[in-house]
Amino acid sequence: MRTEADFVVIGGGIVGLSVAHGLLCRGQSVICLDGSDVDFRASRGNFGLVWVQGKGLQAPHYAAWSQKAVREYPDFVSGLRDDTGVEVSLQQNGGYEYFSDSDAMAERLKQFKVLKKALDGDYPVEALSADEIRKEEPMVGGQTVGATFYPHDGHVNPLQLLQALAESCQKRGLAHYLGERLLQVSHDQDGFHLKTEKGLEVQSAKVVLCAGLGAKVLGPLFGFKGLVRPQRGQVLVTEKMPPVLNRPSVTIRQVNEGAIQIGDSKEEVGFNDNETQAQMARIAGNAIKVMPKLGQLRLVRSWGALRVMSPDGLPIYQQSKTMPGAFLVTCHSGITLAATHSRNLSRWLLGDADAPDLGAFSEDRFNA
Amino acid sequence: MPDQFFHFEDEKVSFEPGMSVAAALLRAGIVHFRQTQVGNLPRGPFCMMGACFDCLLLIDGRPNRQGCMTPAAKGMVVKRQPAQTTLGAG
Amino acid sequence: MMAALTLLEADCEVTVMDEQPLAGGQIYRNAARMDLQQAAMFGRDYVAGGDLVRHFRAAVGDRLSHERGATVWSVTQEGEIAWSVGETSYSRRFDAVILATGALERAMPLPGWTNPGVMTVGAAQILMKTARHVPSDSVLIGSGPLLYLVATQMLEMGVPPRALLETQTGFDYLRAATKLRPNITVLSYLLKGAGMLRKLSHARIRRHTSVSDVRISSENGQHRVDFSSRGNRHSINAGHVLLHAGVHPNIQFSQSLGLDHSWNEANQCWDPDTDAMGRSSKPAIYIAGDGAGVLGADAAKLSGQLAAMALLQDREYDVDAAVVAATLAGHRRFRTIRAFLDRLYAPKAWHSKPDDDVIICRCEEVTAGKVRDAVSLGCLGPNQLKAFSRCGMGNCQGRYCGLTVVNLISETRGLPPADVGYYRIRSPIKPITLQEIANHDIIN
Repeated sequence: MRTEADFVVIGGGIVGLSVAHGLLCRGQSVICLDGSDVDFRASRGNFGLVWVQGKGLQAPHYAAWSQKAVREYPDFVSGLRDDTGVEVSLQQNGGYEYFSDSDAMAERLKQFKVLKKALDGDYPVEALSADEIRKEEPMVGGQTVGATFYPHDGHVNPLQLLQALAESCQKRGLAHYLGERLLQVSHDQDGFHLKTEKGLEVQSAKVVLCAGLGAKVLGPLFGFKGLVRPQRGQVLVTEKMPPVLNRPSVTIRQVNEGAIQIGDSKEEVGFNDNETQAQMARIAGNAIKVMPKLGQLRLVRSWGALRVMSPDGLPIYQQSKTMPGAFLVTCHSGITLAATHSRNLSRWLLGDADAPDLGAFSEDRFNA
Repeated sequence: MPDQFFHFEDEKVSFEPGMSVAAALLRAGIVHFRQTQVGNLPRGPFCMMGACFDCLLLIDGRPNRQGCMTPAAKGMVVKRQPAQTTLGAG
Repeated sequence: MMAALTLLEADCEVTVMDEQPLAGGQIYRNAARMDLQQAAMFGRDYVAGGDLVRHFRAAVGDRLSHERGATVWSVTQEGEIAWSVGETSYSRRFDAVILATGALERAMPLPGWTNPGVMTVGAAQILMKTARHVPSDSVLIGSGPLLYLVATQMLEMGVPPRALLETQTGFDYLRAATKLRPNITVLSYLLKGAGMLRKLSHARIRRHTSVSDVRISSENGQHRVDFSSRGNRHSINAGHVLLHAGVHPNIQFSQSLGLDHSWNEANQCWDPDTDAMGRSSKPAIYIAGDGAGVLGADAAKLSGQLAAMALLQDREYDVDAAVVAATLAGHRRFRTIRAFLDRLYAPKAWHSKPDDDVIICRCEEVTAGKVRDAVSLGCLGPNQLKAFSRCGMGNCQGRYCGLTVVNLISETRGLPPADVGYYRIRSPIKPITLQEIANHDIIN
């Protein structure tokens, strides 16, 4: 495999592979340095949502960026299917957020109104009453007072997506090094010289750091602040069922194989991805409040995973000021943004004239 | 001690108190307990100690019951578990 | 049981969480319920097991509780146990935990192993113990003392097996012989074994050795077993097919707790790391019996006592050093026969690393070929493999595919199994309804 390329992408999760994919589609040569089987790999532990609703309520630019991403998803997925034949089970008919508190729902609708205005009316969210949502989703009952609906929300099989991306990248000539953790970086007029813990040395003109939580340690090597922290989310997975849910919600979705996946939590517990009895009970209880029949389903497995959280929860896109040519790409919504990371980020990384304006996502916003 | 009975599909299966449903079924010569979800293939008990989950049956309307971990009871209604299970009335 | 009784003697408050409705675990399954005559068919050790069960039952009282039919679904490092009895779930924090979850039979993936009517030898033995029913016309395939034990028990019960297909070869006998040590334990063990073989021979039970490349085809409740033995291909019909390739520790709890494990090369499995008395790599968590490392039932009794004594020592109770030393010495003797057995009955490549078309994950119906492909595509370890193939995600959470996956990754990547790792095991260790999880009572 090559040890010199136009780009080195550090990190082979959903973000790294989406970025690599986009660059490869632009004819760039790419090397990917990927970590080990036991690293905290958020790409293996996420919920699988392709989601806009509820994001960027105080940051319209993030809502707009997410909206763009989900609109490009179908093309992105069919491109991967053409390349690899892998079916990623994308279902994008809209999604819900359920409410069991009328005040909370009213508050959310107010926030949507403000956001919609900021986006010049381009935010097609709807509200459903208690009766309407029960008609749409027969499983819904109990204390649900209503739901909000966004038509381009959906879900995908995140593991199949990862596999499709890996295969597509491989077909397009990605040099994918597994089990290689970055140790050292040096930068001169020839570009970047990178060395891994195991002694592998690679060279490139540009580097994209997509190492998730690894950005904290690796970021400073490139002159980034690397302000990411772990935030744990726990997920429950039930036994398989025939189709009983038409559309996903933020916390409950039925995966293509039939199991029902239920989340979630937002815990600040450091680098601890253990599942806990207390959170499992809370998550189960909340799901039963929305869909009482879920109570009789058996939980077969659970997991905890660490989200890659920036201080405000929004993505960070930053070119290094001290080492130009090095870029930081990090977010906690790697699945949703996969399409745009592939199709649009390459323009920014290549310095194209029509590159998206990502200034609002730079690290500068964290300057006190 | 006279045997008691539970129902399996169209048959009556005898058991002695203390036997698991799976043991009673095997004793009656029944080895086909369910169809798998992915390939719709027939399965029956494998480990008899609650570890393999191959002996799953529909017992009294509830799916995914491990036959080897369920004590047989008089009048129980046991059916083969189909490839697709359904939710009960709740 | 031994651990609980030892702790009770020191006046500790003890709870035994038992998934089965009756005490006895798997080896003494139903032992106290059988009359003496019936129990004798299963051997002297089983009869003695019945005594232990009765003794344990008599001791249950204020200080010793026996939670029967209790499915433990979570154990934390802090000693919080969550368990479910009937439809109700509970949670309670204990000061210390002894894991005594025993062993599992090693999976023997071969064509047809998922057909109805194909079970483990252990499963047949449980059927015999709990329903006094012998699977008729059985062909027993694999290796290990359990094959002979169950075959002779079938004879005793009047339903002899059709044949034994044994995978150990002449070479295995030669290499194992170098591991023999001249002591009482070894001698009595070999005598027991010889006795069983004599009974089988006297009853003219057909035995094939050096068996490999087994294929099972099943139709209408009948099976045909095709196999190779000593250069020839054979075929044999059977009413039931029973598989056994030894046992290995059930590591679901020990893995979920993040305890250290080491690869046991002789028994080709992951053993939890323990000191000689059963202390694990985390405080207040002990492991006893075959779950710590396979040494058999008699060793397990001593191991239970040792784990309890370790717990007492760690909590600063007075523990008689002489008793500890004597129990340790007794326990050590069981290792001497172990080396011989592990070598003689070592698992074979043809079933540890099966052909591509064999299902190796029974729950999710994933073949060995799919696993090898996924590894070639870049799955470095069992967890990435889980993500890419669903292998290990099903109901049994890796109990019957975990070691096969380790072997396949080891073979495809050219790595020793010790470097391959294992699945990340999470709670619930057994499935439990969402309702029970949501409503579990926290006992204080």
